[in-house]
Amino acid sequence: MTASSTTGVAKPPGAAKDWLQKLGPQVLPPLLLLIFLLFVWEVLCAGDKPRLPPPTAIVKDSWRLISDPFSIAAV
Amino acid sequence: MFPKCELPSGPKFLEIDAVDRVFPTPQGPYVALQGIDLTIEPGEFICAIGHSGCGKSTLLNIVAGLDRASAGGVILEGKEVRGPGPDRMVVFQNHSLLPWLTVRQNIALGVNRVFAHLPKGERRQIVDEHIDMVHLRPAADKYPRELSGGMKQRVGIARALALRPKLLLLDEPFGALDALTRGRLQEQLMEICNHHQISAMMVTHDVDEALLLSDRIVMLTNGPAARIGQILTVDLPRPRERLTVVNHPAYYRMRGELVDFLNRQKARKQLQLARAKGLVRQRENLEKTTLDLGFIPLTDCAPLASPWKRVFFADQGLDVNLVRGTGWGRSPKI
Amino acid sequence: MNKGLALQIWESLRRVAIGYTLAAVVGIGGGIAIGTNKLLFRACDPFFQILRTIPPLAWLPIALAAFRQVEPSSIFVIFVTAVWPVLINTAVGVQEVPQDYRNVARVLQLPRLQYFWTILLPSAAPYIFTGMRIAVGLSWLAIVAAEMLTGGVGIGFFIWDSYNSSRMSDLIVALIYVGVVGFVLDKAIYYLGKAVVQSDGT
Repeated sequence: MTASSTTGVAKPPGAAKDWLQKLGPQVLPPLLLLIFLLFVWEVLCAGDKPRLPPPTAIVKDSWRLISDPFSIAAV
Repeated sequence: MFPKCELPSGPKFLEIDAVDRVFPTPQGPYVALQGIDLTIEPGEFICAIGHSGCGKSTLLNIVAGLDRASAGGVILEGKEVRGPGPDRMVVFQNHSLLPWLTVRQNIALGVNRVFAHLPKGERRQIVDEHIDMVHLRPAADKYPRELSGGMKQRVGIARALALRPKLLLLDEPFGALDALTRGRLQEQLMEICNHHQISAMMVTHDVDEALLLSDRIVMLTNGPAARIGQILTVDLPRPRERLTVVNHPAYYRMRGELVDFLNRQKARKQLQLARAKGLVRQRENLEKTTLDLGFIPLTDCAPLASPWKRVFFADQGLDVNLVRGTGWGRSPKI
Repeated sequence: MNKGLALQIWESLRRVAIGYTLAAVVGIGGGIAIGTNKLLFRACDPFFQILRTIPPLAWLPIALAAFRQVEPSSIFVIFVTAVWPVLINTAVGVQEVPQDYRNVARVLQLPRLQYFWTILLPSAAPYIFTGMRIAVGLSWLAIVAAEMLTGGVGIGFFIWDSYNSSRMSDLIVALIYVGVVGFVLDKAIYYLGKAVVQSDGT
């Protein structure tokens, strides 16, 4: 009896949890891998004058390109 | 024939103990097997027979260890079956030979695995011996795609027997073969099993095949929740022969029993379907009512049967079902 | 013009051979890894699906920036073109090992290594060769285009050079050569696959 009442109360967050449980295995692994790869990239290109920019530098240098794709003014 | 164990509760050769198998489906759990109890003696040949989809292959897979029982268990020589193993070698329905290995290599794969402790020459000898056993010497170095269906199935049997399994499991091994090949293979299998005293459990839906090969035939009721409906002891004398075994006075009585059981299972299923339909009709239109006339002897049912055959009732919007029954006593109840 | 067409093509083929071999090794190895590990597959698949749609030539500038030399850059472009079809096909092939064969392996209790060599690899082989065949065609497409941009040697550069010097006849001969070599490469992989793969035939 108590079990049924608790599940009844927890219904709205339960739905969100269900959704997360369904999507979690799909979304979480790629997300973790992405973070890991970005980290490795950052470390590999951390030198003084790297051949390729690390992710942080990309975001900093090309922020206008990222933030405003519809910009008309010349950069 | 075999030394009987003195204690009635002593360890049996194979014990299937209260096995249930429930499959979870999106529509809720589906009970395939319920309360299957069976013991098999050493050297015994058991056939499980039933309509397709009744769960007989599931039962075989549970004994093989390829599937797990939801409740209950299988005990082989006092040890619980926890997974598949070469002591319960399976002859698969679709032969399952590896197409990239020759006949010899297919058989050797298991032999080298199970008899790893034996020297190479001896292992090769075991392989050759079993190739000869199924008369495949000329095809020993051919690939499965170069063989006929019957030959492939023989390789499957040789592969299984080469491992000297305690129990041979056969999952409708001759189902996909033509009648002639099927008959020949049945005789070969019987000969091998008699000669080597092999314990076997086979799944089939062929009544004559079951009668020819088995010591006992286990009849499974239709699913869902299939259980053992009846067990028939086949006391035909051995060695049996396919063509002469039918002349035994008891043959047709036993055959009749099997066919009758299967027919009753079929009729029960049809009735269930008809009943489900009738209920739906009633709900759709309350003026229509379902009427059960019960059993009508053959001559008396002519006024009903002949318009029924000419689809007269259906034209008038009436839903009439005639089910063949054997007598007042056996009249199926709605 | 200082080098004959065969020599030009040989130069291109050499680059393709190196890049393609690398791609096959990485593709088959990686494909088996992600095919056998569900979690790894789920993690990697979105990246592969995005990366494989990037056109080969778009990789060239970044390769030039990273390697600062023409030779490794062209090889990298070949590699990055050829690796995806091999990788994805291998992964699918490994995942699609028929249940029958898995059951045989389970009943025989084959050790992992033997399962890999006697069941998994032969069963995935048709898929692997399909991927390799797609990859070899793509590599040949990519090398010609890459050489047009990088210059120096190779059949791609020869075609571009012919155009710039208005040697149209030479250009057409070169095109025919490119086509024939591409065809031969494709067939070579096809027959290699046919010789290696023992299929069921049913």
